[in-house]
Amino acid sequence: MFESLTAIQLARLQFGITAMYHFIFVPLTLGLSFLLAIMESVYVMTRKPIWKQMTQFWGLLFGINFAMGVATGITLEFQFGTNWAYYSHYVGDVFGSLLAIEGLMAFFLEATLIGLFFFGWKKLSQQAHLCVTWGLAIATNFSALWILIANAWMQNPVGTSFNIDTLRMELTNFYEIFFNPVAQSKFVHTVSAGYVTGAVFVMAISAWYLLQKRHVEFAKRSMTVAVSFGLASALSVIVLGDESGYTANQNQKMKIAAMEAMWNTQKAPADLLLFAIPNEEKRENTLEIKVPYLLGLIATRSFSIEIPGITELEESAVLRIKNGQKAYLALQDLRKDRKNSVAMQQFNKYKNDLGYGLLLKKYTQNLQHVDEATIKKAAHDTVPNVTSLFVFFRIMVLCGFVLLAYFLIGFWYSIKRRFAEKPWYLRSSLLALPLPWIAVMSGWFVAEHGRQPWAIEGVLPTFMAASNHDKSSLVISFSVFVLFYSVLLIFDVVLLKKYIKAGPDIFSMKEGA
Amino acid sequence: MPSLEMLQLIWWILLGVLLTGFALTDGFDLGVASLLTTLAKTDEERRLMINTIAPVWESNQVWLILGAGAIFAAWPLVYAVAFSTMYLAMLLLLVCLIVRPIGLKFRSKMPNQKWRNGWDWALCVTSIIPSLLFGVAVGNAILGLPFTFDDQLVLLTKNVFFELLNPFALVAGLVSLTMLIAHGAAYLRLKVDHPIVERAHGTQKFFSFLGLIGFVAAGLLLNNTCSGFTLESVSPFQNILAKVVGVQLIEESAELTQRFFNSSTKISALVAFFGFILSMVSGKRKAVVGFLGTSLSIIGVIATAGLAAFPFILPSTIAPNHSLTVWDASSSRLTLFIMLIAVGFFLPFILGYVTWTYRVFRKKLTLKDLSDPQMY
Repeated sequence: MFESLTAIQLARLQFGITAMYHFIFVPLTLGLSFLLAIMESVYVMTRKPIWKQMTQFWGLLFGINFAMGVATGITLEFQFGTNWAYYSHYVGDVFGSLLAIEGLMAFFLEATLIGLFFFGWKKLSQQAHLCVTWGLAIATNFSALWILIANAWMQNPVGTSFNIDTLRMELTNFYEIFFNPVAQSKFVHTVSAGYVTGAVFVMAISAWYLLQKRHVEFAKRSMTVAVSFGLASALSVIVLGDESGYTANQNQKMKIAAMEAMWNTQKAPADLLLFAIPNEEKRENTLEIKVPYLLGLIATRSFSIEIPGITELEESAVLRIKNGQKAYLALQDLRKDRKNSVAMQQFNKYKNDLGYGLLLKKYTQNLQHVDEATIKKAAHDTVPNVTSLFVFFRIMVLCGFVLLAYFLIGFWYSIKRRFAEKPWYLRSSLLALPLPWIAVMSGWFVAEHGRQPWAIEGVLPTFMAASNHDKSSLVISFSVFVLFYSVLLIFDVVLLKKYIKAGPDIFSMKEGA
Repeated sequence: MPSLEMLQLIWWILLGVLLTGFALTDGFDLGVASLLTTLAKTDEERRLMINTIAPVWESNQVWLILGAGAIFAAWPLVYAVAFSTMYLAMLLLLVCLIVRPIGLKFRSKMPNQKWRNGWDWALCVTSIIPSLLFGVAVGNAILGLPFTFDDQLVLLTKNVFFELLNPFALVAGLVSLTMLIAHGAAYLRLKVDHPIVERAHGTQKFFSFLGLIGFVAAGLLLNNTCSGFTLESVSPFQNILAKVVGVQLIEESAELTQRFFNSSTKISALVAFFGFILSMVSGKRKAVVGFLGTSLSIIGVIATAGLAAFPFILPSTIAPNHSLTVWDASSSRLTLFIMLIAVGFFLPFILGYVTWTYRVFRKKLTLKDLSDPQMY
C-alpha cells in the first residue's frame, strides 16, 4: 500500500497524522482547563458542593484526555530528530530553543500542577487548590503560546540569519521571534478554538444528560457556564481568524492566493469566493459564487492594494530562484575560501533568496548549470495544492459560523433558563460535538499544507528537511503508529464512554468526601 | 555575554544536570513500574505501588522531555544524529513512553481483572525496556555511531539496531536498568506503610549489587576492548567538518587512559561506588539512607559516562573527523546565552514547586487511602 509514496512523503504523512492525532486532545485540554477553573471558582465562592462535583467530574474526563495529549506530544518532539534530521540541524538553533523554553516555562508547571489537581483535593486548602487549578489552566495556555511561536516562526522566519560556517539558521533577535505578528494572532486564534472545543464538549454531554432527564441540576449548570464561555470564544476565534488572514497576507501571499483559488491578480479590491470548483490544470474556477470586494477588504484592509494571484506569484518566484542559485554558488566558494570577498559580497546580496535556490536541489545536485526549464519546474513547485486548501478553508469557516450561531441561540436560552424545555436544541448539541474538531483539523491542514513546498517559509524546502532514511524504516514506524494509535483511541473512547455513562455521581457531594 | 566556549561548557554540564534530574525522578517511576508484577501479589498491592507515583509521574516525565528539548536546542546536531541513527531504538523507546502514561492513568479505571492485569504487564515491560535502552544509548554514544556528513552537512547514516547491542553497550544498559530498579525499590520504602517494603528492601540490595558489578564490568570492558577518540585539532568557527580526530585502542594510548581515568572521572566513579554500597548496606529502617545511596549511584554513573567521553558527545566510527564534540556541535552563542537566562530564571522556580509538591504528598500511603475515588 506504500508503493506509490516516497520516503519523504511517508515522513510527511507520519508527521501530519501524528500531529493531527495529538491535536484531538490538545484543544480539549485548553478549553476544559479554563472551564474547570471557572467551576471551581464558583465552588470556592458559593461553597455549593455541586460545583465541586462538577469540577471533579469534568476534571476526570479532562485527566483521561490530558494523558493522551501528553503521551502523543512526545512523538512529535522525537520525530524532529528521527525523521527530520536536516531540519533539526538547520533550524534547531531557533526552533529547538523555543521548544526547550516551552518545557521550562510552561510544560513543567502544567505537569506538576495536574498531579496536585487530582490528588490534592484533601491535602490542600480550598484556596490553594483553586490556585492550582487556575495555574494549570494558565500553564496550559503558556505551553500553547510557545509552541505557536515556534510554528509561527516556520510560517514567518524573522529574527534569524544564515551562518556560513555552521551552515544553518541562527538566532539574531529573540524579541522579533517572540513578537512575531503571526505568532500573536495565531496564538489567540488557536487557544480560542480550544475553548470552543471544551465548551462544545461540556454542552454535548450535558445535553445528553438533560435529554435523559438525569443529573439535571448538574447538567444545567454545566451548560450555563459552557455556553457563555463558548460564545465569547467563538467570537474571538472568528475575529482572530480574520487577523491571521491579514498577517498571512503580509508574508505568505501564495498561501492566501491558494486558499482563495485566485489564479490571477484581480483589480483591487478582490472578490471573495463563497463557492467554486477550482481546476488546477487550466488554472480557472467553475461555478463561482462570489461576494464583490470582500477578500480585498479582509486581506489588505484597503480598497486599493492588489492581492497577487497564483500565476503572478509563480512568475516572481523565478527571479528569486535565480538569485538563490547565485547565493548558493557564492556559498560554495566561501566554503572553499572563507576570505573570498567577492563571494562574500555576492552571498550577502542574495542570501535572502538562498532557500529558493535550494528548491532546485530537487532536480539537480549541480547548481552551476541549470536550464530555464528546471527553474520553471522549481517555480511551479511553489504553488501548493489549491483545491484542498480552498475546500478545507471553507469547511473551517463554515463550522466556525455554525458554532457561533449555536452558541448565540444557546446563550439566549440560558438567559431565559429554558435549556431543559428545548429538546431540539439539546439534540443539536449532540450533532455539534464533532464540529470543533472538524474546524480545528481543517484549519491546521490549511496552515501547514498551505506552507508547502516549504518546511520553513522561503528558507528550507520540505524535501530537504527530512533524514536520509530508506523507505523501509519509515514504513515500519508509520505502520507502528497507525496500529498503535488506533488501539489507544479505542481505549480512550471506551473509558470516556464508561465515565460519561456512569455520570457525576461517582463523586459524592458530601463535604470532605 | 560569556564566551562561546564557556557557554558550551555550561550547557554540557546542564545537559548532565537535566538527564540526572530525569534519572533521579522518572527513574523511580520506571523502577516502581518495572517491579509491579513481581513485587506486588494482589491487586491492592499493585494499586498501592502505582499510587506512590501517581501524583508526580507527569511532572517527572517532563525532565526527559526537557532533556530532549535541551539537546535539540543546545546541541541540534547531536539531536539529529542520535535520533536518526538509533531510529528503531528510538521508536521502541517512544512506544514505551506513550504506553506508560496511558497505562498509569487507565489501568485502575476499569474493575475488570483482565484489563488491569494486561496494563500491569504492559507497564512493567514498557518500563524495563526504556531503562535498558537509556544505558544502551549512552554506551553507544561513548563508543561512537556510524554516521558522516556531506559537504552541506546533510547527515548520511544507516540506521542501526542490532549493532547497538554490542557487549559494552549491553553492560551499560544493564547498569542503568539495575540502578533504576533499585532506585524504584528505595522509593517504595519511603512512600508506603505496608509489609511490601520488606520485599522492596531485599530487591533494592540485590539490584544495587548487580549494578555495582555491571559498573565495574563496563569499566574493564571499555578499557580493554574499545577504541577511544582523541581531539587533535579543534574546528575553527564551529565548522564541524574542519577538525582532526584520532582513534586508538584505549589501553594502548597513554593519553586516552589518562583521559578515561583522570581525576574527575575517578571522583565520579567513587561517588557511584559509594552510592551502590550505601544502598546495599542500608538497614531496614533506614529507607532515607537507602534512597540517598541509589541517588548517589545514579549521579555517579551518569557523571562518569559524561566525563569519560568529554570533549566528545557523539563520536563517529566511520568518519572520526565528523565526530560531534562540545566545541563544535552546539547552537550559536546567542541561543546558548538566551537559554541560559531562561534556565537561570525558571529552574529555581521549577525546583521550588516540585519540592513543594513532594511535601504536599509526603505522607506514606496505606491500603486505606485507596478508597479515595481520585486514586488510580
